[in-house]
Amino acid sequence: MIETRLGEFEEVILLLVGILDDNAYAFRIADEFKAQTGRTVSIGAVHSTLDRLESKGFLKSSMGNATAERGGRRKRIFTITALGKRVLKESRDFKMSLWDQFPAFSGKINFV
Amino acid sequence: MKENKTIPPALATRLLHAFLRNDLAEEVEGDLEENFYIQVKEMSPFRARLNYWYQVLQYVRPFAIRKRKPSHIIHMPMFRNYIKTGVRNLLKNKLFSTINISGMAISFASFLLITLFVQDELQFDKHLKDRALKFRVYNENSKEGKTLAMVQPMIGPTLQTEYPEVEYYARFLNFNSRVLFEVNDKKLSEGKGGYADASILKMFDVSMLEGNSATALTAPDGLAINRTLKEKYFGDDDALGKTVKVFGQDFTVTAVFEDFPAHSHFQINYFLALEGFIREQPERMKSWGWQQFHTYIKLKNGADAGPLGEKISDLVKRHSPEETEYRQRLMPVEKIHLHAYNQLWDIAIRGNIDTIYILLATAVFILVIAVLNFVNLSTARAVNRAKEVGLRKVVGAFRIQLINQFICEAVIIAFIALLIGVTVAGLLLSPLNNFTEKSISAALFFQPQWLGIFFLAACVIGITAGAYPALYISAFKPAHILASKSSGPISKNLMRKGLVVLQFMLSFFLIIASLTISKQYSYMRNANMGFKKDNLVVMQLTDEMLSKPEVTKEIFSSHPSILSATMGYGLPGEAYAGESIIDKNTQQEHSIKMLLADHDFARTLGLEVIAGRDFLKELPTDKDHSFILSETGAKLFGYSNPEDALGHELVWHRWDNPDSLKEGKVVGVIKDMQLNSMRDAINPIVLHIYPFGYSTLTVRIASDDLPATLAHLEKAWKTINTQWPFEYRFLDENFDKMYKAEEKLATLFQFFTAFTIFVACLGLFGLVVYNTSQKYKEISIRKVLGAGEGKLVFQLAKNYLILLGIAFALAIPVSYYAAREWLQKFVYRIDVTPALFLQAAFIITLLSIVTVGIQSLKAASANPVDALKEQ
Repeated sequence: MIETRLGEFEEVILLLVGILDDNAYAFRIADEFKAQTGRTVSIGAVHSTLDRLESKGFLKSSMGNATAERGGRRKRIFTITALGKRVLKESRDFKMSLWDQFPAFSGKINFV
Repeated sequence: MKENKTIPPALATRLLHAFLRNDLAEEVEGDLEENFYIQVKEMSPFRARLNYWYQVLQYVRPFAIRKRKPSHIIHMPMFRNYIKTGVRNLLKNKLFSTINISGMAISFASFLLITLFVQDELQFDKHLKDRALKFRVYNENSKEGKTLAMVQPMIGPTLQTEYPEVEYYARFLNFNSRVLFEVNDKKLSEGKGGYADASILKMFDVSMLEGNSATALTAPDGLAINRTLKEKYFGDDDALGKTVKVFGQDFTVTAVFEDFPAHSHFQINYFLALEGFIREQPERMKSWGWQQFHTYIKLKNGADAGPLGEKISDLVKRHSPEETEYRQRLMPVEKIHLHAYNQLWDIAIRGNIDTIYILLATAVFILVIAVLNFVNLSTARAVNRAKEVGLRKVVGAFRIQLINQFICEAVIIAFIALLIGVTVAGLLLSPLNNFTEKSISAALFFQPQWLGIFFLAACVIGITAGAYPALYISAFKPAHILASKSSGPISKNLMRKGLVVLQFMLSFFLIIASLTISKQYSYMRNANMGFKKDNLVVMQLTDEMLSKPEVTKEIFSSHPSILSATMGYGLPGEAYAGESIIDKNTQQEHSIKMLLADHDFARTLGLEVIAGRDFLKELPTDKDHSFILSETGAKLFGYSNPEDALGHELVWHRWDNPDSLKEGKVVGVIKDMQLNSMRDAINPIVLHIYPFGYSTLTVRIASDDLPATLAHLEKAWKTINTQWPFEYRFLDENFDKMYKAEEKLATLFQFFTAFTIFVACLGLFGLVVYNTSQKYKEISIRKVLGAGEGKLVFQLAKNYLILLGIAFALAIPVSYYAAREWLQKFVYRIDVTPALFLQAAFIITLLSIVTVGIQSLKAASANPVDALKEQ
């Protein structure tokens, strides 16, 4: 079995980072998570996951430029690394292959 | 109107800063603030603040929390390194290590021994069930302030009937002398016994080997003996139901009990049923004046002794037909051993709570002095380690690491010292046991809780001793040390001097205490007691001897070594014959100690007649109509001048016929005689001749050739056909016994004081060795320039003598006060004189001069070339 090395929450966060692109910092990601899933999550929880993903090498980060908002404090902007992209892709491919092997759904996905 | 600006809660932000990694602070704070202001717009400020708090708390996650100091500080390899360098340092400075370790080892050993001793003393009567509810009743003389361990026979029963909180009582009537036991052919005299209520066995939770503890002493001829007696008379056979002749009367063994445990204040070998005595002398048992019973009571569960003690204080006053100055008091049974040491006529094994406190204080002092030694020597030598510290800092040591290292060294020393100390204590334990007649086991050391305490003690003491030097040395500035030519910063002399002063204050205090105690005891021991207590041999009279007193005295006296012989009842340090006499003029009964004597009594005991005359054989009236008073006795009847007491008429109820009176005049007055220990006030005494009551034969012997004299006495004893085995005692043994425990403790205290002073001198020695080594060059240059050796020694020793002077000055008031306070308890006491302080000062000064002098002289007499050629 293929090791995806991504939990469900991690995968979503990783995808959100990709979606937000230049705006991917902890608060924005938590905000976007809520908007996309309807579930609330604390900034700390998101930050913790980002930190973990970065240490796994799926993300990299750098401090953005200071802006006038938020007291002039800089944001840490996260971007997906090549490895991160590959892992996301592998994860999707793996699931797709699983879907394909599902006889009831093969070809015609039938949502009840 | 401007809108009130809402900002994030400051406290939450502070909390965030308290734990958050510094590198995350900016972004996180930014994120949280951005979130907060968005929230404020969407919901109430309160909700927003709450959410801010929530967000802050959500950051308490491993990744976000600031890491502690560099973690390698607690790494094992580093500790191994501390230990290694510590050991190397010990080996490098053998002298200082020896001083530190031996000082601490002596302190540990002393501390341990004292702790063991004290712990053993505290064990007394802790084995008794319901001990919190058991008390001994004692009498306190409200006028003289003295206390008596024995009370009136009616007190026990009255307490039980009048006070519902008293469950039961037990009385014990001690035989003051040994009593003849006969089982078949075996005839031996036995001590430590008396009449007792049946409840005595229950009171002391005596464990029974044979018989029933509840009923054993209910029959009038009941006899309970302990295991030792049973084995002595009956061997392995059962003793129950056997007959034993005790002073000629038949008793039946109704119980055999286990010997009283060593930690019982009450040590008795046999009990006769008090019931028998009650049947014989029922009237006497109703007395409210006869204070002869050790009386114990047990309260009911839940009873409160405090109010009861108040209520019973006038028990005798309410019941006695006569006036009394005695108040009844309760003493918890577990306190008797340590707190009843000043009660008169006590048979309890005595300890002394004051001694316990004094020894404990000594134990603490000696530890403190050893710790101060360590602090002093380490800070003094810090200069030598300054370069090491500088270098370590330069190559990146944190201060905390250096502190750890120095504390580690101290702990190593403490552990080595502990090991030696425990060994020494183990070796000294058996002499200590012999000396104090205890049986403390060295096995105690190996119990887990003791091992734990040792480990902890070594750590605590190591850390305490190491803390100051560690903080002091580790604070050195590396640049300063390494750049300067000198080996380090000038150490803080004041602190070190202060510690030396403190050490010598403690030593001085201990010497004063120890001198005071030993002087007081030797004063009591050697005080003029009004009679010559040496060379007096006492024998118990038997019926055969009493029947022909003059012949008996003749038989015993027929040897050149026997100087004189007297028969009587009542001797110093023993029982006396009575406690009152009636003044014929006023018909008033006076409280006075009565001794029955014969014509040779005053001569044999060496009493000094200061007015009138001794009893004379030539005057037949002396036998029936004469009394002799002591000086204090004369004062009792109002005569401050002894001469005036002559002719005063006294009356006494005869024993052989209580209805008839013995009337007579005072024919002489003797110098006061101390009947008890010198702890007590002198009692008034009356002497008179009354052969019916005689119980002892006392002979004064010449001090040469004791064995021949004793052989003669034994031969004389056997000439008189008696069943009794030959037994004798020296009168001064009574006094030895009185003072023995206290003198032993005083000796013990002297030993520990000596140890303490030794440790203090050790520290001083170390300091002097170090300081002179620092001054070698100075000494050499002075010498080259022509200074004499004497002057150099003085130069070096001067500073220490000044410190000693300061220590004396500071210690004098404290020790003066303490000595005075301690002596308050003695009626006859030494004065706290300047001589005492001078003596103490002399001892310490001498020791310090020797300590300082040797080293200074060594330094001063060294060849200056050796010191100077190196540069």
